[in-house]
Amino acid sequence: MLMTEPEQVVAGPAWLETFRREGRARFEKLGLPTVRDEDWRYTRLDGIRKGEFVTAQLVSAHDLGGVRALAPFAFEGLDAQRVVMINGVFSEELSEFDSAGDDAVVQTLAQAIEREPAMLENYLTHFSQEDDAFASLNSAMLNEGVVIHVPANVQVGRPIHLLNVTVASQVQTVAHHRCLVVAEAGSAVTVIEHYVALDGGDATNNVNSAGEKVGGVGGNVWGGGYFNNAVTQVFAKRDAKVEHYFVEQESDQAFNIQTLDIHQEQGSDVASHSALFGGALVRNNVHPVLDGEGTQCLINGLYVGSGTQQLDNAMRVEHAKPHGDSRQFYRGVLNDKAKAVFSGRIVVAKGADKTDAKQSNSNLLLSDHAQANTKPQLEIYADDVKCTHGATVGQIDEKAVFYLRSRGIDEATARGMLVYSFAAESLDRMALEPVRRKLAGALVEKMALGEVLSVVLGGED
Amino acid sequence: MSEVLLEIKDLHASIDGQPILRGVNLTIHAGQVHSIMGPNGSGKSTLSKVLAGHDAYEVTGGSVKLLGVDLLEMSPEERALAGLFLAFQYPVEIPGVSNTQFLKAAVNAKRLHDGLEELDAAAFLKLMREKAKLVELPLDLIKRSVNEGFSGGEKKRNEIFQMAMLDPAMAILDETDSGLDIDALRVVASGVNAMRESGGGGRSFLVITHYQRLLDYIVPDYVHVLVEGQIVKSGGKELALELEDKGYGWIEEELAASAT
Repeated sequence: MLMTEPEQVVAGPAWLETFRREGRARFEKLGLPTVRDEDWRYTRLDGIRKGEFVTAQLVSAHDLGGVRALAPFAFEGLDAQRVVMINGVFSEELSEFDSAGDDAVVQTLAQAIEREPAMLENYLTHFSQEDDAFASLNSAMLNEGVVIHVPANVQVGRPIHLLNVTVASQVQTVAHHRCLVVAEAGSAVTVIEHYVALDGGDATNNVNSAGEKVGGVGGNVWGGGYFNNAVTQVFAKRDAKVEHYFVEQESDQAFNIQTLDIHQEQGSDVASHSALFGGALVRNNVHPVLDGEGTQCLINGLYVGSGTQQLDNAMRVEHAKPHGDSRQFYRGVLNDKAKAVFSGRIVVAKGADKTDAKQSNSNLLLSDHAQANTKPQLEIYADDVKCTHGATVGQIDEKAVFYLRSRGIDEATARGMLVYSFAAESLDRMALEPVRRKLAGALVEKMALGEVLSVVLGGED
Repeated sequence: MSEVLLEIKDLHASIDGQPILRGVNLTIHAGQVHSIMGPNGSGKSTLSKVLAGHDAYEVTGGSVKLLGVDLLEMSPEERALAGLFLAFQYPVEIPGVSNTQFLKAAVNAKRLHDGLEELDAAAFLKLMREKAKLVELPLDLIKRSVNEGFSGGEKKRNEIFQMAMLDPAMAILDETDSGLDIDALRVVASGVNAMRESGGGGRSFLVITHYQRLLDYIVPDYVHVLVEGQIVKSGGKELALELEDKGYGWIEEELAASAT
């Protein structure tokens, strides 16, 4: 059911058909991973395996209640270009981005197929993880997406907010979104991929398995888990600077598999920030390849789980050339029966001397039933390298709670401050203040930190 | 005589079922500085933690009153709001929480409790600058995470700085001199002495220390010796000198002799 054909497949040139066919062949050969697969040891995919998914359809802006319906998802104070996908389908009505002039950097996949087919073919086929079932599936189903192509030496002023909205539906839906970011030499761009859910839609145009239209769904109705299987490819050319955010704020019905594949050339500087708040099951794959001398790569993440959420982060950092610096910082806060995984693989290829790779993963468990599995893996084939890693799984420091209370701070606030400050370390690494602020708010709301917000956000001094 | 600030009567406390305090009696009047000395394991630090409300210790008997109110019924934060302050022997490092945020929360909780308006950012900063000077604590240190990466001396200075910010009626210094070099000791002591004089001289101190050295700088009105969870000897500041000279052995011998 994962490979249902969308109603309107963008017909493409021959290479595109081949690309899809090859993806399909790989996926059929690989199949969905199981827990016997080392990279999926801690994450069961039963919900996806058993799903009866249909391809999600666009909902009109009118049916959603206009652009106002998207207001809660904005980053307040951020002047951003907005590219909106509804149920995985590009919504022209709801989007607003710089599309005119030579500096235009944002286009839909369909537009790029027409305008820059050679460029597209070149980059889409340049993917580092051939053996990834979900990425292969995404390729097989390639139909919707966004292409961001930044010309050499252009510094894109307004960050690009890629808002992916899934609307409540009675049927299980699946979307395979693709995002391609090509930052030419000396350019700079910031992309925020933001996954959210909208409960209150009046209508969906989804078709159930019997081929009937399912519409008129009132608020808060979900027909079971829905699935976003997304792939993002980032190409940072010589001295380019790319800042990428993945913000997961979906409903508790979401399965979300994200694969971020990064290719870095000499002197490039890439930052990947992930913030996992929503979703029933989220797999966050981040795969940078430092394929040029003197590259810098920051991989920063925060996962905040509650209920029965499963948040799985799989890093694979490949140092292919000398003098590359990579920094991985992932932190997790887990309550209730939430489970999290962090596996951090660092591969230093032969000849990638003077590599400096750091990795750190810290987990804060707020409940006896929460679980964190953390697994560093180093594969080093070069001689002269610096690789360090560290992982912790712990609870709130009761000594610190007593210390704060002994100064007159009540217990709930004391605990809240400690949870907040633990997570804030991840947020502080994010360059965009409006994003930090929104995520801080999400953290306070999700972990019920209440009045702590005013204390910690009010006291910026 | 001035009013009674802290009144400890026949206080018994244990940890993990092991009795540590075995009937402590101590009365501190407003404006007085008392010092408790004693050998290792005598219960000095237990006393300070029990007074501050640490839940690892179980109070098995006796009473403690702060300004006439039952202290043992209060949570640690209520004790702080009521005017008690403990300068920790081992101040805790709290990564991610800045001193500024932390103190702002604490100062404003206190002000709210006292029926005062919260301090705005400017007034708070002014207060911080003023109090930081007392213990020569640089402002950039204050903006950092609480005690994180601080040297031993900086941590202790930070304790006294916090004390000055919170303006308590009753301050307990738990081995504040441990780990301090002589210069840091002077700075910390002068901060404490400034606080002793401020606020109309009504503030009281309980200085817990293993060594007499600190008492050269913070001169106590009374010195008590704690042995095996009881105050076995009290005197003036000269008792501290005697202890420094002769150690604790002679007191223990005296005790043993009187018991037979």
